[in-house]
This record gives sequence, C-alpha cells and structure tokens, in this order.
Amino acid sequence: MNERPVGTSPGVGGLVLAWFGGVAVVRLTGATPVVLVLAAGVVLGLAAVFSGWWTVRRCHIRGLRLPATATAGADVPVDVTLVVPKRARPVWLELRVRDERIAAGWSTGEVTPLTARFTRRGAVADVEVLMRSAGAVGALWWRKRLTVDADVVVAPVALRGTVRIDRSTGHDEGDRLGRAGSVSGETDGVRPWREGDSERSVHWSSTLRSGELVVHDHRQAVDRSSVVRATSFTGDPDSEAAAARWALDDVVRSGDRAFVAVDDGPAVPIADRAAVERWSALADLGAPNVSEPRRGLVDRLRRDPERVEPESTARVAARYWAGAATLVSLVMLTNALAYSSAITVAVIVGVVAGTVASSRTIVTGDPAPIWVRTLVGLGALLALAMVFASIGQIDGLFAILRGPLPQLLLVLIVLHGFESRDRRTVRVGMGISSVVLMYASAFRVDGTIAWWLIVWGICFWCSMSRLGAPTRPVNSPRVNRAAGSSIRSAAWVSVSALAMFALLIVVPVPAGPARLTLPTLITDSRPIAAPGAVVGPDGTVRDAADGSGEPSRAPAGQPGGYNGFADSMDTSVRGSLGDDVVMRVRAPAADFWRGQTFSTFDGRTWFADQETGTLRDGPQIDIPPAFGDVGERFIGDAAVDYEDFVQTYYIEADMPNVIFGAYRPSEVIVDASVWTRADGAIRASTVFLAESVYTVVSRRPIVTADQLRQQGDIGERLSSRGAEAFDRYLTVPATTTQRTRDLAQQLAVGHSTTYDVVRAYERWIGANVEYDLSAPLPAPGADAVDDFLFNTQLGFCEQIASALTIMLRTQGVPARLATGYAAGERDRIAGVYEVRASDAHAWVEVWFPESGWQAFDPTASVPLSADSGVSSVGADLIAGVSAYVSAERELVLAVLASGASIVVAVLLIGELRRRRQRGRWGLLQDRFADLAVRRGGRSGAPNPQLASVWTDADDAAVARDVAARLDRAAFDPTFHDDGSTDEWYRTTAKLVGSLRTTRR
Amino acid sequence: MGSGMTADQKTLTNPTIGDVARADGDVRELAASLVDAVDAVVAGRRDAIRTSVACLLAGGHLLIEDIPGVGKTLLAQALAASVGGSFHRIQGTPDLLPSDVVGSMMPHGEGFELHFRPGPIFSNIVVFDELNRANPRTQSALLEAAEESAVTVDGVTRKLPAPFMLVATQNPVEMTGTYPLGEGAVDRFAAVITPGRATAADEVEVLTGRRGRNRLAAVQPVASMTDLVAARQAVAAVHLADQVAAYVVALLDATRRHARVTLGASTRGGVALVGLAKAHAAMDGRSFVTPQDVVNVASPALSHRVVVSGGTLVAGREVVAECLAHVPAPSA
Repeated sequence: MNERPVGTSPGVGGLVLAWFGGVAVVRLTGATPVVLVLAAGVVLGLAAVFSGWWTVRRCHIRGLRLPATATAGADVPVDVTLVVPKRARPVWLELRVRDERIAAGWSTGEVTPLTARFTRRGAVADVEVLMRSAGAVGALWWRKRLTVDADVVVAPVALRGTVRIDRSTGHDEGDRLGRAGSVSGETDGVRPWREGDSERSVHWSSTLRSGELVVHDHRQAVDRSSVVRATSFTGDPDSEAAAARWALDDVVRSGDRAFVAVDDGPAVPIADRAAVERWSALADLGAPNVSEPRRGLVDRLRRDPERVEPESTARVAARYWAGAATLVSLVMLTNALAYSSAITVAVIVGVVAGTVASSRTIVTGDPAPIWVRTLVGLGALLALAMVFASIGQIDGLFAILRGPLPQLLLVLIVLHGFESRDRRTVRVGMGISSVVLMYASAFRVDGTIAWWLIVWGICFWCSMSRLGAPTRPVNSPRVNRAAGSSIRSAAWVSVSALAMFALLIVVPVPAGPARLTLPTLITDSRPIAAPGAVVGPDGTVRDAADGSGEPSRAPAGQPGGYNGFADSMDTSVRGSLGDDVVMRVRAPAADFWRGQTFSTFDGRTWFADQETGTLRDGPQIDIPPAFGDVGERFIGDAAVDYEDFVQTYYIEADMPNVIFGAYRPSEVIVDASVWTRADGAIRASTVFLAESVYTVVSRRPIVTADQLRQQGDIGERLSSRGAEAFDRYLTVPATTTQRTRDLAQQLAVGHSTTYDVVRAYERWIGANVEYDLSAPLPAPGADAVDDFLFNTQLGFCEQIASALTIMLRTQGVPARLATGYAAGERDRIAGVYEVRASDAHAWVEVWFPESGWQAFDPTASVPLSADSGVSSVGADLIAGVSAYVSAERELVLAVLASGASIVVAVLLIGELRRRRQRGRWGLLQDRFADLAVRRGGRSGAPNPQLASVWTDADDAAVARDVAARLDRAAFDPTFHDDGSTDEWYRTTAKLVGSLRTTRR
Repeated sequence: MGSGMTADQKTLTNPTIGDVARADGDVRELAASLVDAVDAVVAGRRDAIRTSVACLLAGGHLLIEDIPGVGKTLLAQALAASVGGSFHRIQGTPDLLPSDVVGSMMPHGEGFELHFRPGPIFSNIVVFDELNRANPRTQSALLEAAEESAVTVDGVTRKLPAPFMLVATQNPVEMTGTYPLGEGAVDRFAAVITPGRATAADEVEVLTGRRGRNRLAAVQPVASMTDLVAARQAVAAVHLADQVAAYVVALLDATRRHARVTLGASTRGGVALVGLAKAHAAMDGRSFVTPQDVVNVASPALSHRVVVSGGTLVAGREVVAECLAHVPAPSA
C-alpha cells in the first residue's frame, strides 16, 4: 500500500487527552452524556483516520511537467497533473529531489501550477511526488509517495569567475575568413533588439523613431572562436561550473563560436545558451572538497523539524466556530455549577472578546494590540485573586469540584481565547472545551442537555472541518456544485451516526461513579431538633401519631412533604403532591428509592420502630446490614449474588432528612451525620434543601423469580426462634376482620411457595381493586384494610400495600411496609431518573430467608433486580428517542416538515435565481452542453465542437444547427431576446429535445 | 423526434436574423471562390488554405513554414494568382540587400537626378521565398515595411499599394547558413501555417498533373482589389462580443502561465487572433465571432508567438492546444 500515515496535526494530542479526560469523568461520575460525547469522539477519530486515507487514495499522479533546464536557486514553473475525482478535497503536493523539497503547494483541481526551486547542480532523473491530506477532519495526515521520471538538468547560477578563455580567429588554408572589406567590430547598420543584446548597443535615435528597441548591428569576423577552459578538481565544482557558465554565456552572446573544455581536454562545441546550461549542469568537474559537518548526538536525536501540517494559521471561520463551542461549554458549566448570572455574562463577554480579538490578529497577522494584552493580564490577576480568596471557604471534595477548580479553569479558558490564533492553540482550545463540556454534562442532570450537546457538536465539527482546510483560497475556477454532493454529505453524516449508535449499543450504561469522588453537597445545613426523628423540609418533626389523632394532611405546595416520610403514617390520607420534580437520581437502572419502613399497624396507621439507631459521621459512612438483611445474622453472605449499585441523588426541591437508597444501602456519602436504624432506614442530621447532593452505594441482591420460588413457604421455614425475632413483622392488628384472613387463606390455597402466594395476592388485587387517589375515607374506628378490600375496593398505593402486608402476615410471612419513591421517568440523554412528587410511593417488603427483604408492589411495575439488567447506552438512547418521537409526534413532524420545506425552499429559490440569471437561452445552452458532455464531449468546449459528439448523420445535422443557433443567441449583437425570437426559441428547444443522450 | 425531424423544421430561421446574416454572404462567397481557386492548384490541405485566405481577408501577413517540396511556394503563388492585382516574388539570399527589396534612389534621366526606383515590395501581394536565408537587415527592412505598409527611403515615406499582403515561406529543417527570425520578427506575422504533406490521393492528383504547379498558369483571379478591400472592411466590421474577447484574453493568459513557456503570447498576438477569428466568422457568413472561430484559428495565430524553452513551432502548437483544452469557452 502506497498510503501511510505520517503524523497528526498539531494540537490533536490535546483532543486525544481530552478524550481520556472524558473517560476519567465517566469513571468519576458515571454520567451517560459523557459516554455519548466519548462515542462521538471515537467515531470522529475513525473518520479522521479514514478520511485522510480516502482522500489520498483517490488521487493519482498523471504527469509532471518540468522545464528541460533550470537554474539552481531560481524559480521555475512546474505543473503537476493529477487524476482527481470531482469535488475532491485539495491535497498538499510536495516535490522532492534527493530528499530536498523543491516545490510544495495545495493542489488546484487537475492541473496544479507550482513554483519549483532546484537547489543542486546536476541532472535530475526522477522527482519524488508526495501527496498529503488529512481529509475532512484534518487530524491525521496520510501520505502517498510516488516517483516520477524526470529529465531536467539543473545549471548553476552564472557567476563571474576566473576561467581561462582561449580566443582564436579561424583560418582556412592560411586566409582569414570574413566578409570582404569588413572590419571586425565595425558598426554595420541597425537591427531590432534580440535577447542577449547589451544595452550599450542600443541605437537610441532609431529606437525613438520606430517605437521599439533597435540596436547597432556589429560586423564581425565570421569565424572567431573561443574555448572556455574549466578546471577540474578545484574542490568546488559548482563554483567552477558557475564561472564557466558565465564565460560561455558571454562568448555565445558575443556571437563567437563557443567551445568548452575541461582542463586540457578536447574542446566541445557549444551551440547556444541552452547548450551552455546543459554543459554547466552536467560537466564533471570532480568531487566537492567539503566534508559533511559532524553532527552531534543532539543533532542526530533532533527530528526533522518539518511540520506535518503544512500551514499553521487558523482560518477565521474555524476560530469563530471554536469560540462558539467554547461559549456553549462554558455556559453549560456555569449553569451546571449554579454560578450567578453575572459570572455567566462575564464569561460570555470574555469568550466573545477573545474570539474577536484573536480573529482580528489572524486577519491582520499582527500580535494582539497592547491594550488587549494589558486588559487580559489585569483580568487574569483579578480572577486569580478572586479564586484564591474563595479557597478558604471550601469544605468537601464536591465543593472543590464545583468551586475554585472550575473557576480557575474558566479564567484560563477565557484568557486562552485571546491567544489562540494558530491551528495548534485552536485545537487545544477545543480539547479544553470538550473537557469542560463533559465535566459540565456530568454535573447537569436536567432535560435540556441533549440540545446543548447537539449545539456544541455542530460548533465543534464546523471548527474542526474548517481548521483542516487550506487557508489560502484555492484558485480553481468556480464550478457548479455537482449534483448529489449534498446527498453524499448527508450519507456520510448518516453513516457516522449509525457508527455511533453501533458503538453505543455495546457500551453499557456506566455503573456509577468510582469511589474516588462520590459527590455530596449540602447547600444549607439545617440541624434538626429531635435526634433520629424524621423532620420535614420546614424543620418540624413529622409525626402523625403525636397529637389528637386527627389525620394530618401533607402541607400543600410542599412537594417533599409526603406523609410517608414520618414516624407514623395514616393510610387513609394522601396529600395532594403535585407534579414537580423533587429530585434527579443518576443510576444505571430503575429501582425503588426507599426512605422508610413501617413495622407496626393498628388497623389504620403504620408506626415505625421507635429506636433512633446509631449516629455515624459523614461524609463517607458504611452502613451495616439492618435487621433481616443479607449479611445480618439470619442470612449468610454467600447466600445470594449482589452487585454494587451507585445512585447519586440531586435534590431539586426541599426534602425531609430521609436518605433514600435502593435496597440495600451499604455506603452513604453525605456531608452530614446519619442515624442508621435497625429497620434499614437512614436519617440525616440535616434536612436536604434544593441543590443538595448525596450518593448512596447499594449492595443490590441479584434475585430472580426462580430463586425466590426455591425458598419455598417462608411461614413454614421460620423456626420458632425466627418467628420470635420477626414478631414485629408478623403481628396482625386486632381490628383485622375474619373475612380478610379468609380471603388470604383462600387465595393462598394451591400455592406451595410464598413467592407464588404474593403473586396470587397481587393478581387478585389487580383484578378487584381500582387505583383511585380520591378514595373515600373509612369510617372512624373501622379497619382500613377491611374497608378497602371489601367495601370501597378503591384505593391508592398505601392502602393496597397495607392490605397486601396484612394478608401476608395472616399467613405467617414476615412483611412490612416501605415508603419512598418509584424510579421515575428516565431522561435517556442525561442518564438520570426524574423523580416527581407524585412518584412518592408505598410498597411491601417481604422477608426471604436467603435474599433478605424483597420489594413487591401490585401497582408500580418495578422489575426484579436480575431482570432490570443494566442496558447499553445506545439502546437507552434509541428507546429515549423513540419515546420522545411517539410522545411529541406532532412537534417532531412539524420540525421535520418545516426543516424539509426550508431545504426545498432554499433549493427552489436557488434554482429560480439560476434560471433568471441564465435566461432561457442560457438554460437551453446548459441542456445542450449537458447532453453533449454525457455523450463524451469535453465540458467547456465551444458549441460546434460539442455538436461533433453526435456522429449519426441526422443527429449531427441537428446538433450543428443547435450549436449555430445557440452561438447566434449568445454572440450576435443584432440578436435581441424579445417577442420576435419566441418562435425561433421554441424551434431550438424542440431541436435540443430531439437530440439523443445515449449512443445507439 | 430524433431522426424524424423534418427538413423544414431544421431550416426554419428567424427572418430578422436571416437578413442580418445575408449581409456577410458576399464575404462567404468570395472566400469560397478563393479557397476553391487555390485548392485547384494545391492538392488538399484545405485547412491551411482556409487559414491563408482568412489571413488575406484579415489583412495580416502569412508565414508558411514547412519542409521542402510540399508546396509552400505553390500555395503562396496560387493565393497571389487568385487575387487580381500586382504580384511580386522575391527569393531570399544572404546577399539580398534592403534596397533590393524596398527600392533605392537611382540616378536617372538627363541630369542624373536621383529618382526613387521602387523595389518588388511595391505590389499587392509579395511572396518572399526562403525568408530565413535573407540577412537580418533585409528581413527587418522587409518586415518593417510590411508592418507599416510604407517604405521610407531617403527621408521620403512612400505608401505601399493597398491592399498589401506579405506571404513568406521558410524551411525549418536546413538551418545552416540561415538567419533565423527573432521573436520580434516572427510576431509580425498574423499566422504561421504548416501545410504538411498531401494525402496519397492528393499526391496522385499532383503526379497525374490534374493539380500542382502546371495548373498555376490556369488560375484566374476570382477577386478584384475592390472586392478584397470591401471584404476586408466587412471582416473588420464583424462583431466581437465581450465574452469572446474575454475568452481570447484568457487564452493569452493561459499561454503566459503555461509551465513550459518562457515567453507567452503578446497582445499583438491577441489582435491577430481576433482578426483571423473575424475573418473566419465572415467566411462562414456570420457577422459575429463565436468561440469556435477563435478555437479554429488559435493554433496558426498563437503557436509561433509562444516561446517554449528549447522548443519549436510544434511545441508551441502543443502548448496552444493544451491551453485551448483548459480554458472553458464562453456560451450563452
């Protein structure tokens, strides 16, 4: 294979580093959007590799036109003829002779005129042609090397030197030759100037009279000859040849017969100046007497300083796009870190000013003006001072990640913008911008992230592709855009998108942050009054059972005020919760975000255990297994497989001090102290106000339906000691009616395993009960479960879960009520679950002797942990997009339709404009030329020549007629395209229509 | 449609345009009869004949360059003979002096006053054979006279007869003892043609005597000097559209930028090219120049004006052909 990669453009290393930085960001935060960016980066990398190779591969050298003779050190024109596909990217051409570059430049279509400069005297038998391209991406350069035969002699520059010249006048048998009576050197009239005449011989009076240069014509001896004698082995053959050339040129110019000899060797006749050049180029005057300069070790180690990318100046358009990308990423960052809008505005102003200033210096070529540099310097000092001043207030890793580190980054990026004017710095700047983007998208959990990514991607791509293009305008004649080029670029975009999806399909959703930096942030610490108690967002202790027994409805307008987050819960109450997003949970899969468990039921109200648990200090807190968990005394560690399941909770609305977590939390990272309770609930020492962040790592048992089924009937398996320990979870309230017990008994018949019993209960509830948030309250004193199951058969999750718990307890199965949030809706791009206030939920936990507490829920369909396997980013993305499309069908259709109609309108307007510009005869001409070119005619040929492609007699006559008519319409001054020519036009159009496209 | 196109549709023309075209019909007929007359003597080579007639109609001078024995002189003579008017033939030799060509002051009459005795250049058509064998003085005197259509001897300027045309021939092969024309000298010729060898059929015609030198005597002038002057005026009036002029400029520019060329075509070359193209258009019965006219005459008009390093007229032709292939022709 001729093509081989030669290196990367300067600054590409920055982009590669940025990619690895993105990998680190994914490892640290587990953010899905970063995975998207990284996958796009991989596709871009593949495109970078392929695109340069493809461009170089499609170019071939057809020929090289070199002058026959050249002078060392002087510019000579050289034409390189390439075989290039239509609308191919220009390639960088380099001509080399003996490893020395003699010419270089961007190709301009088929024939590229270059200016070559040969450096060494002698014959050149072959020229190496190197074609280089980095394709559309402009990152990786490929090269193709070809050797082309050449036949060039390179003469030295004529230099006056000391060369012996033997002059003699020719004699023929003793008589002097020459015209009779002539005196050598005597002026003999005038003649027009010829090349080589001295300015001293100009005959000025004749010149003035005739208006062109006239010189004296000197009569001279017919046969005077001069022998130039060059010396060999002088040690400097080139200088000797240069001196000989000077002397020979002089002799030839004087009109003498010229000869040349080396030392005392035979004299060789020299006919003209071309022969002088040839001789001085090829004369063998001995080896040069110069020794190669000794190269030191350092010199040898130092690589050829030749740049891989031929140009270093960025294009202004590329700079602007890069500025736009930086702007997008920085605004994303300031939003993600919740900086004040003043900082955002300052950043925008800084980036725009930097972009404008550096673009201006690109245009003018001067360094940035002094006032800009002064301003930048002052700004830098001020910003650094502010950053240092704020360092003192930092506590916690997350605060550092949000605080001075990104602030420093912001300042540096804005300042870097003022200086980035060459390709290297622009690429490095974009690398930094992509790191910022990934950093920001790791912290952003809102729904607009997809649009930010799209906008940034467009800016990034535009900048990259413009950076890779030649800076100098390629002065090839403007040709009409070949049809299908937009289709081709659309095809490329689709292929890239497909490649990205294919890549994403195999990339799993990141499992979660690495342990290095689990984020936590408490925006405002608000200590709670009662240790270990549940405190509402407003700071008051929430306990429904403390006072009069009146049902306490959740405070209206407080999204986090679900009454399940208290030490007791009245099942007959469910506050209106609203639809606000209360938190966003970054987790690889859906699960219940459990907050509380309740063990004791009095027929109407659930009560949590009273013990407050153990106080543990943050920020990194190991949570021991609670009662009944895997690893606790009842269950061995090896009983079940488990996985680490990391969730980061981004609190969006003020919440109580309950720490949520998928079953079973094993580690909590929170900037506070927590009470770990025996019932598995965790309560923090502070309430969580909006914008707080904490992370929970759960050891999630991987259970399947079969595993649960194998554990048989739990009621039978519980030993008497176990039953005693689980007494709390088996107690049925006194108010439980007989018909409830009967129903439970009746439904359990025929099922040998507890799992099947639970499923049977769930099925019955699903079939007989309707979910209704406005179910009527049970009568005072009545058993709520009985009322729900047999009277109203209407209810919400608390009642359903209570009924299921009590029914299971009647069968001797340990069960309890859990409250928390259902998983919520997954934002597929941001990779987070949006949890709304209405997702507040209650469900049943059943104890299994081998896998611990297992959630069951007749209303929300949360899969078993083994079934909710972590999917791939790509599948997630496709699901998200299709969900979006089906949900917003009208919007998507409208956007697509308006986009399509804009494209059509632009095309239509362009076509109409072309038609108006070309006129009807111009369009006819185009049709005719197109027909002829399709039959093999040369585009750009005159019409009669085009007409000659029709060989068939009839067609040829018609074509000739058409050609004559079109020429007349174009060039006849008496032809006016008005009403009188309509008939003529119609006839011509008919004739053009009758021409056949294909050969017979 | 296709071959089903009927004859009347093909010949249907706009009446207005037809009238305009007819005005140049005279030139077309004149040119056709000239070409036929020359063709009756010189076998084949109709392209060369057409170019030489175009050169005559454009008022330019013609250089015929070819190997010996292919009918250079015959072509020149036939062209001269087919036009009525005075005609002289000069044979170029090294000892030919300028005064032998342009004329000199000779003592004459009773008082031996000096009178101007005109040289052979004083005629409508001058055929100068073997131009490169004349010495440079004579060459430049001749070309200067031809360029200015006037001769200055002894301080008195005398106009050459009008119309005037110089047809020179030269042999590029035998170069010993010749004085090759300089670039400036060659530039004065509107066109250089190389008739080349005749085809086998045409050679048969020559050998059997149906064509060739012995038919020269039979050539009758088909155009009077008045006709020729009128035709030249008609040719000069042929319209050159701006796009076509720009095309010519682009061609000239292409020869100057060409890698092998050390000296591109001059502006005078462009003027000559346009003149020939106009003549060509008029010979086709058109009153306007099309790009095809330019293409047809570009090679004879420009090949000798581009100086190709170490090259010849053939190299010049190649260069011009490449330039033609690369410069897109204008169209409607």
